[in-house]
Amino acid sequence: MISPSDQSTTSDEMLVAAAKKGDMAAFEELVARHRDKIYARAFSMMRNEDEALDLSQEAWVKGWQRLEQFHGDSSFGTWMTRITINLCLDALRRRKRQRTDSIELMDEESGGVERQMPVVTVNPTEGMERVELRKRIDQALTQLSDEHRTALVLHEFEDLEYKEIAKVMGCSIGTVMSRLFYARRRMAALLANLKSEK
Amino acid sequence: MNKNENQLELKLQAYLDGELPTAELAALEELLSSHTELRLLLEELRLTSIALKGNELDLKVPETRDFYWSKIARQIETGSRRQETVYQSVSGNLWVSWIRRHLLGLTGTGFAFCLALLIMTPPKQVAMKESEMELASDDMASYTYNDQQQQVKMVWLYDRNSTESQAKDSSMMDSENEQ
Repeated sequence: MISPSDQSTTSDEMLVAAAKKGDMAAFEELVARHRDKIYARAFSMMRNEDEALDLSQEAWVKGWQRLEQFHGDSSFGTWMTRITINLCLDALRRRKRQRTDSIELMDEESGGVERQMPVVTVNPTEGMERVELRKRIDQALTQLSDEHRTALVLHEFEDLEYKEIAKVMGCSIGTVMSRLFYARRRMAALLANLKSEK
Repeated sequence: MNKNENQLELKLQAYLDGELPTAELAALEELLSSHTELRLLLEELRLTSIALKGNELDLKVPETRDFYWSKIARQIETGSRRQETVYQSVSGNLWVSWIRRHLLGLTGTGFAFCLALLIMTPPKQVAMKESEMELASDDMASYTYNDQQQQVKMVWLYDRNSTESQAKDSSMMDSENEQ
């Protein structure tokens, strides 16, 4: 058992080892350390604060239950992020089933309007402050379909390769490439539009 | 835009992401050198990728540490209590089903002999036979409880949409006597 005064200075590895033995306080410290990252990932995929909050907490419960399966092949934060991504993907699939008329699906089948979009020839983010850029990216991400946004988030934010994205999303590598391509093109256009609106 | 052009665009993207097979690199670079439109598209993809990398919004959990943790802790504790209940229930059912299977056909002396044998025989190691279980619906999720000491593994299903995540009566237990 790690004493409360030592928890903040203890490494993730030691906290995980203690949590595996049933030390809830050690697990609470892990939650405190990584909760923002886990919540941010859930929010980037769901685009809904309540859902992101619920799913991030569900991810932590699952993390506790599956601690024995964590062998340190990746960092604890990365492992928890994967659990979160899988939960979000399940939630997105449920959300998709509930939609009666899926515009996103139609877009995906036809290639969407991105195919005909002219190439953005100037850097849409040039001269922008970092805080402003982040806000605009977030704003633009909201306008993507769940499928396109997920592919983009997993590739650009999680640095996953095509085959890894295909595995977690349960689709072919070709589909991932296609989703990523249209997502990038749409983001380029959206960022350019946001800049011109300003 | 025809299928070949679409394929070319995806190859261009794979080139940008370092995922284009080495054998196709030279051909694509040659195409790039002679097609301005392709170069512009590559530049657009590259700038978008650069803009996104490392520029995710820095979000914080909109709840205090204690409040956020309290819900997690409650769910963990609820899960543990449920596991104990199911374990006790399944343990009891195991004995009943064993007696039904092996002893119900016996009478008198035979039953007494088997009972005596059972009492006098020391507990044996039980080997686990793990079964794969496929969830038919994404709305269903499962909890797994593994007791190494008792050599028992339990899996039970619940409906994610249920607000209280009440355990369904679909608990499952797989165990097999080595004999």
